[in-house]
Amino acid sequence: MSGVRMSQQHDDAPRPVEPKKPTEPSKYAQSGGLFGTFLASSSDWKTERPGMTESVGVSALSYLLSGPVVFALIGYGLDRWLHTGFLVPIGLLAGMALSIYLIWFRYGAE
Amino acid sequence: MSFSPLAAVKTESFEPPNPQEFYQRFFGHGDWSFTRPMVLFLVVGVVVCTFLVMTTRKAAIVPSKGQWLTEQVYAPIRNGIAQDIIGTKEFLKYVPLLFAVFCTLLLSNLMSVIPFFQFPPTGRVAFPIALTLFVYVIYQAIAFKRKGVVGYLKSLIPPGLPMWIRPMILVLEIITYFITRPVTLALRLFGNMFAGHMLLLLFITGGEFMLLHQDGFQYKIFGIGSFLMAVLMTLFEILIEFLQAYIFTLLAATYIADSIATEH
Repeated sequence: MSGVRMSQQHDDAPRPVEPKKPTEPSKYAQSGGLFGTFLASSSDWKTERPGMTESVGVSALSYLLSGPVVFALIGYGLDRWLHTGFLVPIGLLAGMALSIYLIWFRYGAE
Repeated sequence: MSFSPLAAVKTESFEPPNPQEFYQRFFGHGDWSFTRPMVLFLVVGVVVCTFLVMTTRKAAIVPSKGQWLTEQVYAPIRNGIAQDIIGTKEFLKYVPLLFAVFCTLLLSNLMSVIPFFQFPPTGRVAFPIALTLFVYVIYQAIAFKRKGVVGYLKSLIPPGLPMWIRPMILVLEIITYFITRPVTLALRLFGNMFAGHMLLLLFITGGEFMLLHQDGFQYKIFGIGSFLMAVLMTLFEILIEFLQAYIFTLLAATYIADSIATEH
């Protein structure tokens, strides 16, 4: 097909514009531009919404940070109050477990 | 004056770059001094405002070059971040905020590699903190206004959790929403910009020292290698600067979306 078309054309004639395919808008059009395509290309692993996987990752990280820190601090406070010494590690572990559970509950369960 | 290269000539010992070099005072004293990142941030503000006004004042359907460039940045923020994350119903109200944050951050991050400026204001922790506070106040205000205090706290607990675990999850969520999120938002940006700039400084000053102030063939080789690394890291740094501006805007949009959402 293209060979026939090429042979009919003069060299200096403007090339025919390729007709747009009647499919749904490309990702280029959806995300709007070069920059958007570049940014979106990394993130459509699970969802079509660009950026959502990154934000889930970041949220998961902040849970992982908060859990151990908060419950270790609570453990520390209780240790000071009750004059014991074992509640910091327990709080640390419980916080880790809770944050992992929460991440699983929020983002893992489909 | 221990930071000047002349000091290195005299003593023949290399002073690695240190965080104190990020504090560059122009005039004033102590807390009221006027510093280099302040000047750069002012430049960023003026340039961003001027550029955006100039390129959009005579907006046309067939865009000029400047308008085209602005649209290339505006479209992914409007469609790729705001619309996709906040949702088609109310995203338009937050586009100006997100776009302004993105442009400001992008240019102030890029200040790290633009010749003659060559310093990222976001590498001083106050600038990320100020920008984060801005976003933080907005998303918390939206949440409290939309849901009320009790409704907001209730919305933090994902539905379907067993009853006995809810109080602990509530504590975890409150800390995450009110402390961890803003802190990580600010520190992520600061850390990336600070460390990136530090790395560039180290490779460049180290390369210069080995090449010019040390005798011995091996030092020349290492010096050239160090400069090559500096070029490589500069390219990498540009990528990081784009990415950090994008991530910050993306997370701001996510937090706003969380505040708007009635339930998870």
